[in-house]
Amino acid sequence: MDPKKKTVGFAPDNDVNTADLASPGSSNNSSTVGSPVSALGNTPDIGTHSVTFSATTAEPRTINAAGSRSSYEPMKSSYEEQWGLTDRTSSSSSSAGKAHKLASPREGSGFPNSNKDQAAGSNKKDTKGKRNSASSPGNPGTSSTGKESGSGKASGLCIQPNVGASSKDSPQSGGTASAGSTGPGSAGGKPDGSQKPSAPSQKSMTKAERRELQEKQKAEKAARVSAGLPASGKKAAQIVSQPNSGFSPNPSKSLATSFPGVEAEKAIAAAESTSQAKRRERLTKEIGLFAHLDPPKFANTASAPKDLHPAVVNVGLQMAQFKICGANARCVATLNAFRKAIQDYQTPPNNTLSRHMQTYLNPHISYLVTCRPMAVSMGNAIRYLKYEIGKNLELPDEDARSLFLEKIDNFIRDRITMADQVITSLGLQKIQDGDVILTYARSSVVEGLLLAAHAKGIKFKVIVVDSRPRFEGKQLLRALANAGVPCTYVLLTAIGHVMREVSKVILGAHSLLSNGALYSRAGTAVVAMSAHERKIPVIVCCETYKFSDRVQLDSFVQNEIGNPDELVNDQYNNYGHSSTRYHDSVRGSSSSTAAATNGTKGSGGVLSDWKELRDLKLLNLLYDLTPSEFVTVVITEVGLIPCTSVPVILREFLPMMQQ
Amino acid sequence: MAENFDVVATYKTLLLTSPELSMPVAAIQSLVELIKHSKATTMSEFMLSIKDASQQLKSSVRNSISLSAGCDLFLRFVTRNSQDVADFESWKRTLIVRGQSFVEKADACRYKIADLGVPFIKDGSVILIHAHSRVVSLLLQKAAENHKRFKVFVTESSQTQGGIQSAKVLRAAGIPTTIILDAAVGYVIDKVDMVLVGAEGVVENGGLINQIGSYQMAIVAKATNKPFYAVAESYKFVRLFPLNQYDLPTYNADTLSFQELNVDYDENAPNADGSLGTVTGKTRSLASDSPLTATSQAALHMKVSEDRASQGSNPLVDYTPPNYITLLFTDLGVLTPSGVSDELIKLYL
Repeated sequence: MDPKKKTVGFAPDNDVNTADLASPGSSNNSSTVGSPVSALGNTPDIGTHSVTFSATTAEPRTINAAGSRSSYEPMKSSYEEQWGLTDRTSSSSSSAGKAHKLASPREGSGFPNSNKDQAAGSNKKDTKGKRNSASSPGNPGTSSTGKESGSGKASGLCIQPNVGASSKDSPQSGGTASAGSTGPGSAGGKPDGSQKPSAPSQKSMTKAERRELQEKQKAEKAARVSAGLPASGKKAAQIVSQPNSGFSPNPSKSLATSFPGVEAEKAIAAAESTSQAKRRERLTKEIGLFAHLDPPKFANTASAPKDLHPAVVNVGLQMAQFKICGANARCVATLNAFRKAIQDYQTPPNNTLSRHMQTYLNPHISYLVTCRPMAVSMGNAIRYLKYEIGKNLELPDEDARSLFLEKIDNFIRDRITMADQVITSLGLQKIQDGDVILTYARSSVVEGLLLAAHAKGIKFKVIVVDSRPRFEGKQLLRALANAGVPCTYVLLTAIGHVMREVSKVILGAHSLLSNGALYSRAGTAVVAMSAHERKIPVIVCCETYKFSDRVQLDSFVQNEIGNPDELVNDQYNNYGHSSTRYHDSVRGSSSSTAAATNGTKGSGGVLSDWKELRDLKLLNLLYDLTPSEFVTVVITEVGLIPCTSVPVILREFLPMMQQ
Repeated sequence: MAENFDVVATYKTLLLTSPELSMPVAAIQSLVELIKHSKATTMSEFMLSIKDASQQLKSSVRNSISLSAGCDLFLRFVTRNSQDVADFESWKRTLIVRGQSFVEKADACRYKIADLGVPFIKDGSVILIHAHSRVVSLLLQKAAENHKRFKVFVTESSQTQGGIQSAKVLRAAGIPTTIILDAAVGYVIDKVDMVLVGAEGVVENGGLINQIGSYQMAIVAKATNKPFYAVAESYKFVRLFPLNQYDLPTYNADTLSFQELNVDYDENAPNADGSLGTVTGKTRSLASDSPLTATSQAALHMKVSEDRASQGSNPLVDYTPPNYITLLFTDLGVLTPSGVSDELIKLYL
């Protein structure tokens, strides 16, 4: 195994001679070789490889590559690989990071795989081989351009055979060498096997090349160190292959090693077919499963039409910045803004207010959507408003204006304000002395209910469960604590611990869907499920105007993606960063340069530069879906209903309300 | 106003005179009687008297669930029709007519349910029923009339002895019936093909309020994957949404509360064993181990008999959540539990 890695690492290195890029390439490669294997489900192997490599070679650049990645990355990459979220082809840097990160602990922990021993044994050989290759006269002919070497690395990253392929680009010398070397390594010392995979990899390699261009700059930094290495394609390859043959018996012994090679072929094919999409994905940092969702939006008036009413613009901006947050608040704010817009509206000549109103409001609505995806509550309210407008096309201007204003006021009063009062009074029946009520994040209705219960003199305790990154529960906690309600505050991670003493769970809702599913703040499903697990009643408070005729089976089909920066850029992440540096410095004096670079890089938190990390994508989903069986009861203004009755309410009750 | 009309007394005589009458129907009938005797001259006075009467009825019995279902239904019926009142007297007359026709139709409900339920009873099956329910008995009688051959296990239902009554009725219909202990449900469940229970009330989510013991039968049935069917007339649907057993209107602080341990020992225990100063639960256990067991056992016996006497603290009904119920046979059709909510919303909104 090691030989392969080594070779892989070095073939590019050789190239590097001419091109400065090589060194990162080499380091990456070595680790990369491991990574694809890991992707194919042979993690221990990878671990060993990486261990060997980092431990023995202890090259500054390798460490460099590793050090520049955060500790978080390895996990991410493996996670994504597991779910097929990353390009196999692009997993290089992260895997390298992983290898290094994991190196020391893995060494300590005995691997089930026999490779470890090999690795240990081979370590020395590895270094030797390296030296050999280094000392061997560089063969300029084989040396490809910096780009090429980079590509080699990239392909290597994705799948070992690729590495071979990359080198193959420069046909005989470097190519064969690397291919040969890789093959045995990957295929468990079977030269033949190595050749096969290389063929399909060529295509992907060219793509990899292109990708590599992007990475060039990054690579150059680390490349300086390695520039001095002589790299000879042929000789290096031969030298490399020798250790391979020497070790071939060992690798072949372990079945696990031979499999990756075979599976790698499949992986390549898969990677090629999706590589186009993946490429786009990587550029935009969007995640495959969620590509259909709008990317996070940011407050921006530049794209807004000029004739928008300032009140609406204002509300839009506030929503984009999450200053107005929560289904009720957003709906009320929107309606009030529209109210102002209608008030200030001047009918254009040759038109009537009611006929022109819809055209007038449409850009306002679409502006709000550009600020943040529309809440279900807002959608329903706007639909109602449009319905009223469409119903009264023949009214004189001033009558129509006052009618619409009145309808808006009535909607807010009947469907939101009064509804909340009714829900509160109904909810009070379900809170008894001695209850321990758990709630998640913050819902205006739940807050009102709990405060009312306290005001009524019911003696109960509240556990506020909260979560990153928004910590909305703190607001609720503040309100309850001010009112004198005994409270406990925990994060979602402690849910299992606190659930033991809970007697009721009361949750808010963003929307209730027609199949009875609850669509609410991300994390709600976990709370509801863990309560259901203990047969604790889960009470959802939801006004009927939030009912949706949509049906959704999971949280993927429809959701909202929040700003991913929220996940990584906060003060708490500095902790992780410092610990990373500590490990780097412990690793040895040779890594001092790496640590230094690392230090300069991560001044704003360990993942502040996550956008630079090619294989790291962040997902900040704002909502999740709780299936109906986890909800005991929904408290609405029309009474307590099971959540499966949502369509009944939509069918029987809402037409009545619209009149 | 019904000054000298006693709605509660009417209700009780109705139940006594016609044992086939179920509580909600009797309640509606007594409310109709109230209207007949009503001398109210204004709408609001009239409404007030009806509300008063239904409140009286509800508070007159310990277990008011099915009764309140009838009262609520009638109230809803009255208020829904009160919008378009031209002539107060004629409106009162229509109310009486409709109320009476409802009472008459209520009887037909059971036959309809029986017809709907019979196809579910397979030849050669063994059915487990709980206590006594008129509608369940009728269903089984009908099935027997239709030449279905089946056997019935009926739980004794120790509080009301309803099982014995059921067994009498069923044996009279020629159905082989065995009375089992309430505690033997788990024992017989493997031999049982389906569980049939009646209902005091069907709540909003399709759950069931029924004579105590239904819930554990449902749990046992669920655990062994046997179908658990509830049989209930639609006038037993109530607008309640209990979250658990302790959320029922029949629950109060006395229900199954822990009696104070030292009531009887105050005199006995310290006298028997002077070294035991304070009288607590600990005293009790010590006392029973002491040589003076006889005294303490006598005390214990007293305690138990006292518990028997104060059986009011034992719940009469329990609540079976909808996820344990396979189907509900009602006169509106065979419903899933969530279908109940559908019907209730249609009725009350």
